[in-house]
Amino acid sequence: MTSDVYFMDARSDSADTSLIAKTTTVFDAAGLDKLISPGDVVAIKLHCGEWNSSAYLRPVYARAIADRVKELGGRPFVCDTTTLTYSPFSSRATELDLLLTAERNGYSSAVLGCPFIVADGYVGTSDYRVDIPEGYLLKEAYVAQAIAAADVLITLTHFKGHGMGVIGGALKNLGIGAQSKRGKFNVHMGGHPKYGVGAAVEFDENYVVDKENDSEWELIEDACPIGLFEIQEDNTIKWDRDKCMTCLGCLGVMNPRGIFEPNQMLFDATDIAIGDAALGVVKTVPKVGFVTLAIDVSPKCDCAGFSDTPIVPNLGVFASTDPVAIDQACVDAVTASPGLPGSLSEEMGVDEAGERKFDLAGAAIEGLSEQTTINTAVVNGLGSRDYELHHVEPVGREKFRFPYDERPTRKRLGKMFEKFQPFPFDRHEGRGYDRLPEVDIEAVKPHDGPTVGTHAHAAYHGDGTSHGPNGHGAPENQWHPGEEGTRSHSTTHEH
Amino acid sequence: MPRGQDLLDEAISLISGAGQSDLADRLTAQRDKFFFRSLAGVPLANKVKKAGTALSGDASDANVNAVESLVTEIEDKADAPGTVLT
Repeated sequence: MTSDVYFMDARSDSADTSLIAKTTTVFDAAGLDKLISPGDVVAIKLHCGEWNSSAYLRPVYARAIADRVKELGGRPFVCDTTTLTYSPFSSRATELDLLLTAERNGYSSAVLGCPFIVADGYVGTSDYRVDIPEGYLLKEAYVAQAIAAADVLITLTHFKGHGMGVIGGALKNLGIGAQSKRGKFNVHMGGHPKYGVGAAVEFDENYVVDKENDSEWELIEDACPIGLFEIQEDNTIKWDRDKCMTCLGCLGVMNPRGIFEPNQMLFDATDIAIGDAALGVVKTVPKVGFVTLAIDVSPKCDCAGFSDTPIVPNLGVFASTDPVAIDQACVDAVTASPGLPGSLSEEMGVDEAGERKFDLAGAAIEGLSEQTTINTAVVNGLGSRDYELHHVEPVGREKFRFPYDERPTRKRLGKMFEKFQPFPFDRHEGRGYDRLPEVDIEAVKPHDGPTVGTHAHAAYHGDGTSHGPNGHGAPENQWHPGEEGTRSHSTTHEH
Repeated sequence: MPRGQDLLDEAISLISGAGQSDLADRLTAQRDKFFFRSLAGVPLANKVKKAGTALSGDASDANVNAVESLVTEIEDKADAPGTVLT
């Protein structure tokens, strides 16, 4: 089976080739508009970004899709889900923290034009269990309640790398992002007799912490939300590993210190489980579509509290009804692209066009594959790696005009300008402003600096203060902070 | 052997060969940490190997300082808690 993937590149020179316009253009081209019937509740699932990450999708893309959904008669909401604890200092592990993080990152109902919802509730236990007998590893999944309750799911994905998942694409947006916290424990192999952290990780209980050189050694106890670590009097560490949930809160503490041995099997199994859990979501929601922006392709996920330089240039916008095909198309596009100079792809030595990028620049440990989740989702029947890439043409700039007042300039602003003329025609013989009639333009264009000297009345000396021609302080005709409103409305002020 | 450790061993050899055994020892103390057994340490291992190559060709103060700066950065980052994996 060959699936259809619709694509527009990242270049832009007009309103209808803006990335925002392209997001809704590929949405329609892929037939996602046909998924929405009047009255449908439409969940738009995205990653709102961790505290201090900056490569996550700007909220305007979700807003554009929400507006399109409303045009089609649907009732949209935008959502994310609570995370595992996954570090001692995660910022989205509860609804309270997630909403604070989302708002800081620009996601709120005022911005989106529709509600922003934490889909799995305050702690992350609001969910819907679904059987997945087709699963390669998982046999059940726990879909976030608000997503499971929706008529339509639009999976809006920022394509990037990921330390554990290797890639962060549409499948991961479903297989991790659309799972409740309870579901995320399942996908991360919590309690699994072979692949879970408690079972699989080699643990050095005799590791003696050098407290003097490790100011944060207390984190060993505090990294576990259910208190499974206890420093003994002899400085050995007691770990009640049979009860480990695989929340990953301790890995960032244990691994760098050598208390845990890195465990590739856990990572591989989780990548497989992501493909299965993604199937669980598609089986739960009646209609599902995918829009993926391969821009700001950071090597690590938006769940990191930072965003590194993108590993490839911006590639474009993809849409499909097949999450496997759209992820494969994105992986192929990244592979085909040269890496960005100075990025992790160059540092890892995978910056040539045609080289796989994420196995080295995305993964946290060696031996993982950017294809594991995709291949699993082929095996469990979720979709196809084979796809036909359709290059979509722009649909005309008229559609993307400012929608609240589409009248041309004179009709929109003429009367207002008669009443509140912003140009001071009454000053300087109608020219409005105090300016020299002519200057040597070429003198300030040389790349090695100006060819004229510093003006005798230079007002700014590079020290953050203003110095007018009459000495320190604002001269008569300088800008007066706080009075700009008065001046812009005045037609009688003379200097 | 993990790529990070492999590159670090090359750097240690170069730096030690250039007579900077203290710096080489400081790197050796880091090589078995997760940072260099994961891919996270590869970029810094790459950088310190390049700096070690420069040092082995020219043992100037500038090249010693470049290596020392990277060793300090490695010591700082190799123990930083909060590695994000999911």
